[in-house]
Amino acid sequence: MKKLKFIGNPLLQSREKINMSSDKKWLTLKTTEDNEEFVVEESVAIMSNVIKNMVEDGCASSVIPVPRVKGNAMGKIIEFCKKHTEESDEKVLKEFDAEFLNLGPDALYDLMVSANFLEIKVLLDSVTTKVADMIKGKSSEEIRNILKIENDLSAEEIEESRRENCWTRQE
Amino acid sequence: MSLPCEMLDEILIRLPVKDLLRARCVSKGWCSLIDSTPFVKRHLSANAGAGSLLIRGSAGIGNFYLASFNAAQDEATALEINDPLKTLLVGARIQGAANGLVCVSKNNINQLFLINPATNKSRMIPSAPQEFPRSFYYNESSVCGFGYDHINDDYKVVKIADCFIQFRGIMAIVYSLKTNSWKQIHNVPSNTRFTRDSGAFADGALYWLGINKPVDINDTCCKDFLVVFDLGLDQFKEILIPAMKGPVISFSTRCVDSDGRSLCIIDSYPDCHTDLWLMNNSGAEIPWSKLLSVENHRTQPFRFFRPVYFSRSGESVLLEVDNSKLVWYDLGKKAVKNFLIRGIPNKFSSHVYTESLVKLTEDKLLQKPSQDKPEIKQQKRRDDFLSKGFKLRL
Repeated sequence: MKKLKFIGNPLLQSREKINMSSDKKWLTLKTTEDNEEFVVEESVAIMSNVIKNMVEDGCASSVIPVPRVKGNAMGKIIEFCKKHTEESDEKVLKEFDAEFLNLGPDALYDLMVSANFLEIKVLLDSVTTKVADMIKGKSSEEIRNILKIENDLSAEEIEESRRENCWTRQE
Repeated sequence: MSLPCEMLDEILIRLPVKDLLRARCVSKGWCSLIDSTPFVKRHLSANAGAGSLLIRGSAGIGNFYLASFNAAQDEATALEINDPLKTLLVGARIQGAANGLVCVSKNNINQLFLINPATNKSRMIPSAPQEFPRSFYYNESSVCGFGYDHINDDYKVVKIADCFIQFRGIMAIVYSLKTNSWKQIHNVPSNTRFTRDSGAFADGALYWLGINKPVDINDTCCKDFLVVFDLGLDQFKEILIPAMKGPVISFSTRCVDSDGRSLCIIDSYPDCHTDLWLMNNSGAEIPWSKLLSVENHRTQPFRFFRPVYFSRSGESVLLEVDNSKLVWYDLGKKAVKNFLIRGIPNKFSSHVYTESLVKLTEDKLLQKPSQDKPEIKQQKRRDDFLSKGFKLRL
């Protein structure tokens, strides 16, 4: 039996019941990398421009295959989109985002790449702002440590750059 | 973790200039991205909404300070500008800001510099051609304006002089940063006097208040038009503006100002009220709309105010009152909220600019100043003038 993840009313058991409830439309998204399926409301799914275009073009009848995005990233993304379609209070959303993005650099990286691929602007903006905030005010060495970037500049190059902009050095 | 290029871009454009200058030392890839012209442009337009202030103390020599602000805050802290700009700016006046750069003048607009307050870099603009009259006193009729020509992606400075000595008439020259040279503008308006203020930059053009020289002694000077210099076409034109409404008493003043994006006219009727007109976008049905009209009450007296920044939302405007304080004026609620800036003197003038990485030096070798071939250049200009029927007393 395929593993189905229902993002919606946890009391409902079968897909038929979901389809009959009110006039909400539901879509199934399947991550092709690890074959996980997610059932989501169309209004939530179309926060992704890519999915939105597929729905509008009429090719989203049965299961929508989503490449390049892993199951756990997809789950998190759907959680984000659901919250943002349900909630309209700016303050509540801000608090939710802060909590939601309390992740390590690797997880943020996955989220960012997936949000970019699926073209979910709101999520992409939030994640990139979060990463920018993580490196604000930090020295280049600290930035390299946080984002795990290799240093390929020579000591002279770094010294020259520092000299040019020495007035920006923090106290 | 290696971020794909467009992701890194999205992150880095959110950083302030100070952080980007430090981030150049992270890796070669980061360095070349941050230095690249497309990134500089993207960063500039991403930051266009954020506000930064360049503040000049009015007393004495006048120090320069930088502060960032946003409409949600009631206060901000200003920091004095660092060397090398600090030394350069001694005795300087701010002429205007456009697209990430600021133009300052020294020695009564005889010396002009372009500066980038965010990267602390500067560049001297070569002297105006010898035929252009040097202004000696503050009240001599020589004005300048600085703006960004978005059509040619060029920064330009215009100098205009009302000449009495060498010839009678108006001479205008324009400097282009791209070509690093001055050239003369020939279609200058003839029967016009310019007010002393620097040209206000908005929407690809520079604006000055024009005054028609009165035909006879009984005529009052009418100030119902603006002289516009189109930075893309390098041409002058005139546009009409709403007339000052009565009572136009002798101390009523009118001036034109901008925050680099929006142009406005301030009509001050002393002991009465002050009106602020905003120029609407080209294509709008009504070219000008009255943004606000503030009565000069005994309870909240002021002598004058000027707008520093129009918020992007159109809801409020940052006003500088009597060169001594800043207030946010909410246009909907017609309410005033003080905006305190710590660290600046009691008397000051403030100008908004955009933080940017815009470079001031050319990538190729700088052109040698034209000291090597003065004769040829002079001769060329002499010919130009003679052909116009002017006589030069050399």
